Order: sequence, then C-alpha cells, then structure tokens
Amino acid sequence: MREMEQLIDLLFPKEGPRLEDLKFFEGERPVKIEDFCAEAHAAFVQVDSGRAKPVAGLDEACTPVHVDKFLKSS
Amino acid sequence: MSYASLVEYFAKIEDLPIPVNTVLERICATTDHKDLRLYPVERHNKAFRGAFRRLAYPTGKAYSHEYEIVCQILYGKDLPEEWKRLVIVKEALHVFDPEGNKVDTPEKVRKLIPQVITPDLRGAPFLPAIDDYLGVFRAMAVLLPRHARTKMKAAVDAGTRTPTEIADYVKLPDYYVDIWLDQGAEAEPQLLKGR
Repeated sequence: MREMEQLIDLLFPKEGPRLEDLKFFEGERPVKIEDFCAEAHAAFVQVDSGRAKPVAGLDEACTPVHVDKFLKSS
Repeated sequence: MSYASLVEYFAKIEDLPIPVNTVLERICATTDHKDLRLYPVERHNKAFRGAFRRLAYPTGKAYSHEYEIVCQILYGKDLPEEWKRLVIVKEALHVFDPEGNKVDTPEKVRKLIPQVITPDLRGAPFLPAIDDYLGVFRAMAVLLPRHARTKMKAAVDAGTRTPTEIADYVKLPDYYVDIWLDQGAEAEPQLLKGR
C-alpha cells in the first residue's frame, strides 16, 4: 500500500535519527488504513519540516479546586 | 521514576484539574526523558487524535555510540481542551513503555496501524497495540487520581453529582470519566502491574 510505505519511509530514513517507539491515539471516527497513513504522514511532515512548531506546554485555563469544595457545591 | 510511582505521586492530590504541564514537568524531573516536545498539528480526516514518536539522535562524538533521546508528542490543534489534556498525557506516558512494547521496526508499524484504527481489524494480539489501547486509562489514573476518584464515585453513586459534571470539573472527556469512575478502582492495580 503506497500510503503505508510512504509513512514507513518517513519514519525510517536512511540517515538521521533512529525511531525507538511509535504510538497513536485513535481518531474520532473509523478510517481506512490508507487514510490513516496519509494523515499520519502529513502530521510528521509538519513536524519534520518545521511547519508545526514545538510549544513549551499546553496553554490551558486551569484553576484547581479541592474536590471537597466541588462536591459540597452540588 | 516508574509509571507506578508517578501514579502514586498524584494519587493523593485532590486539587483538580491536574494541569498537564505539571505531569510533563514531573516526568522530566524524575526520569531520563528531559526532552518532551509538544507539537500541535493540523488534521484533515481526524484519523487520529495524537501520536508519540521517540527518536534517538547520534551525538556525533567520535568513537561514540551515544544518542540523545527526543520524545515528540503530536496532537490535533483542533481538539477541544479536554481531549488535548488526555491525548498529551496518554502520549507522554509512553516514555514508560517496556522494551517489548516498543514499535521500532517497519514490520511493527505495519502491525500497529490496523489495530489502532478499529477493533474490527484486530487480528492476532499485538502487544504494543494492546498497550496503546490501555494507554488512555493509564492517563486517566494520573489525571483523575485515586483519592479524588473515590470521593467522586461516592457522589455519583449517591446521586449528588453526575459523570458529566465531574468531567467538566476535571476537564476530561465525559466518555472516559464515566468509565474511569466506574472501573478505575478495579482497573488501576492491573495497569500498575510490572510498571
């Protein structure tokens, strides 16, 4: 399958870093293997080309509240 | 630090939600994984929500076989915040993957992908794919930790809170909060075994 082999070529380049582990979090809906591979390939291209920039952390609006306070407010 | 000790560290925390950056900082401070990089990426067909790629870069030192390890965490930039939180922590926890569960050859990639996509395609058991599937629950054990989970489960059983209200509070997807409140007490010890 062309898409799978393109992804594998990207993940295992002849020169450069060595892949030590790869995992995925499944998507919102089932897709064909070729669509999955094309999407994964596109995502890693974004990273490897520098188009996707690393971020320092997740920018989240997070104000922790004690669980007892949360439960009492019911 | 092991995965089990990370879970123990967060188990007593009752101020929620646990910020994702706190989890990442804890992993970097207590393991050899000092270089965790987050990449928000564009998606087109929502085939996957996130990915983890661990790379070894040769240091280039003469007569050396030393490598620098970089762990990349990709996540859909379009995901709602609660999904970003779960995806990032699930992927970050793969730094604890045992050797036998690592996907590091083309043949393993060919086996992994069909099993990620849909349960219908699950053929012969492939350990890394099973580990990938359980990864989301390993993340729940960190983000919805034991002591708080026990109190919230009691509130749900008493009818004073709903799983949806709790999901809003802990900023995690409803679906997994519901499962974790119901199954977490039983599942967590199994997830910690050998970790």
